[in-house]
Amino acid sequence: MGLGIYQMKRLTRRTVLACGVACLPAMALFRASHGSGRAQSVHHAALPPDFLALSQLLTGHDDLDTSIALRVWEALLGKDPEFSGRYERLARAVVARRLRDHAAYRASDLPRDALLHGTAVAIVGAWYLGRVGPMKPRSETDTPAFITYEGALMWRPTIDATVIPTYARGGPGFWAEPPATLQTD
Amino acid sequence: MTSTQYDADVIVVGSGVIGSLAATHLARNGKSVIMIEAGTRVPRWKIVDSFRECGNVSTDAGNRNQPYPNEPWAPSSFVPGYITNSGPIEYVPGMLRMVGGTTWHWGGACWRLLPNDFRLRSLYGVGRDWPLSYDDLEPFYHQAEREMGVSGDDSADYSGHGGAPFPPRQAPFPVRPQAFSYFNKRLREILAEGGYPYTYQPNGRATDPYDERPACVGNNNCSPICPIGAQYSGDRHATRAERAGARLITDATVYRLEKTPDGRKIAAVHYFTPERTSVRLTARYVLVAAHALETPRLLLLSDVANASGMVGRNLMDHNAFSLMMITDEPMWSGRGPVQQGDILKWRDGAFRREHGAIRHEVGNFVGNVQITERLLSQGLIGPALDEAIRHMAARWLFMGSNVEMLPEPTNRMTLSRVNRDFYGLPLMNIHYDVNDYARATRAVIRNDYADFLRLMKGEVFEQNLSVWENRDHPMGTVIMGSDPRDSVVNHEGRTHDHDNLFLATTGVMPAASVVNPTLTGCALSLRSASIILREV
Repeated sequence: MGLGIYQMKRLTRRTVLACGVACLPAMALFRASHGSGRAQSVHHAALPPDFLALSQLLTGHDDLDTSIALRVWEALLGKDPEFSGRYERLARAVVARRLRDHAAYRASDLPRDALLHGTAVAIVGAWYLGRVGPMKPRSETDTPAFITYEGALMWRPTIDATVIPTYARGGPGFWAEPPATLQTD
Repeated sequence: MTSTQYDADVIVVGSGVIGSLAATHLARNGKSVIMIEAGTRVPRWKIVDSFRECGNVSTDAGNRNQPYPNEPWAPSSFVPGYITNSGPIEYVPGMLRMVGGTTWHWGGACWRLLPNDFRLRSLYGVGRDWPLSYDDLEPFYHQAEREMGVSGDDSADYSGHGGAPFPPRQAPFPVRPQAFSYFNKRLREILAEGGYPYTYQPNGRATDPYDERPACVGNNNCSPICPIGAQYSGDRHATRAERAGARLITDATVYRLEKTPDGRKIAAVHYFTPERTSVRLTARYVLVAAHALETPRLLLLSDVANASGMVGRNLMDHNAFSLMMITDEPMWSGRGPVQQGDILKWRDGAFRREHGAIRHEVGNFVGNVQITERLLSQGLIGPALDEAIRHMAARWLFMGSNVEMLPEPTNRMTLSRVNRDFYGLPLMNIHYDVNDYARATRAVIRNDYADFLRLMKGEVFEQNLSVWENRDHPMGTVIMGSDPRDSVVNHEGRTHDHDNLFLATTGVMPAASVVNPTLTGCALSLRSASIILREV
């Protein structure tokens, strides 16, 4: 990763942390008026300033790992050159409806809009799976864009009961007993 | 024994578990041994890192070759063009070319065959009989189990009939069984209600520290890589062979076995280095242990051991179907190793006159990857996604069936007319089909799956009853038999055509049975090594 991207990431992170979901509409409006000059290169496209905030809104997680936001964005763009435009349409729709959190998104008309919700699912999928694109079981080519393994959100809902494979916690034979939550699962 | 006229007493081609066990045994007994390995050597930690950074594989899905070395001169099997297919069934097994071979990414199953598996023709009128019996091989099963540290259930009837311990063994398993996970305990109880015996799978994981391996702590990633090396892998004995004095040459692709002028023996082994330098080595004996596909490829490239015309033919696997379900009650698959048990109801019996044996192997995977993909494909996001992942992961059940196939000369590996390797040598084409004996299992498996769904009160997550998934258990390609007219090696693993050329690979197996073939390949290799030891 080059120095340019590193600097961009720092700037982006600081901007987003200082702002968060609360000022998403303002940021999106700012971007709408300045967005046309944004670099379109697939590999070095700038991270939209509101990407992390929108990711938090869509996933319902307010503690996303800011250090991988750029990787998520680049993976999405790497697998779909049109993704930048798709993203902008979704972001504009969210701003227009003044959606502030996941519950508001779910209550809106957007989940029923196949194209816009498809973009939302793509963003959520990247954060949850830690990659973009399907795994290719017997292929070495056109493999997924990798983002993170242990940082993938899909592990979180079960982390008390099962391990992230390769990261065992219990000692030998811990598995003989069921998880403590069995009665309520 | 002097080696002045030869570079070694024995050259072993291939450093996977099967070749490395033989090399270790020969070197420990004072023979000079050279092992030649096409691939490179990589330490475990690098593979673990590579696994966590590759994105194209998980414990239960994806390309298991992906985290491994893939050198231009030693490509892994999914590199485009390495194997092409021309038959009705696609057949490209997962396979690694490196020190230690493909047991880097196996599930660790270490099965003995049953005595009846050796007498299929005599008992059931199908397939071929082996030219040796279970009793002939038993001492070498025992030896292989001790070398590899195999864990098993001494009380289990592995014939699947729920009877007394079987098959006979001269000593208990060297390693006690691991605890069944809660998931597997519940499964065993529920399956018993339906009359399906569920047995602990014999495996190469260390229940307690064994040799230099730590105890398994349930990383749930046995394949593609056990991060701590609790599970056996072939690099253990490649290293052990070296310590016993064997010389291991890596990144060396054997491309020709040179015959003596009278054709009766192998005079030399030729290999290429990555710089395309050719090297010639001589030995009294040559043991080719280069996988069930690369071994016949080398024989065909060398015009060796093929008077029968059987080299590359009779390819078998355990192609079959799979079932994923969401069970009614939370059982929590994914705690512990990735597989612990099998349903062996159809392992052996008079039905084998009519159709192949069947083994349903139950996975014990963390199911989050496939579950999350499914839920996303349904458009689920937000807190509802988290809730659904947990609900389904607690109820995830995956099973893959294995079916016995018969040797058919038309199921065949040949040299490619199109594709060439790094050195310009022909790669492989495979023509493969599933015959009627195996296809007849489909109705049985369909009934079983319906039973399992009923017993578990399960909902189908995914059920495949149409595509013959291969299990990466290639066998039969350098088939063993007593008649030189229709087989490549005799009961010793010695080629009929060349006195000093032995083959050690699951490719020699003349009957597939329905269990993972690695341990049988290892036992046969150790038996061949004991014969070579007497003669060299």
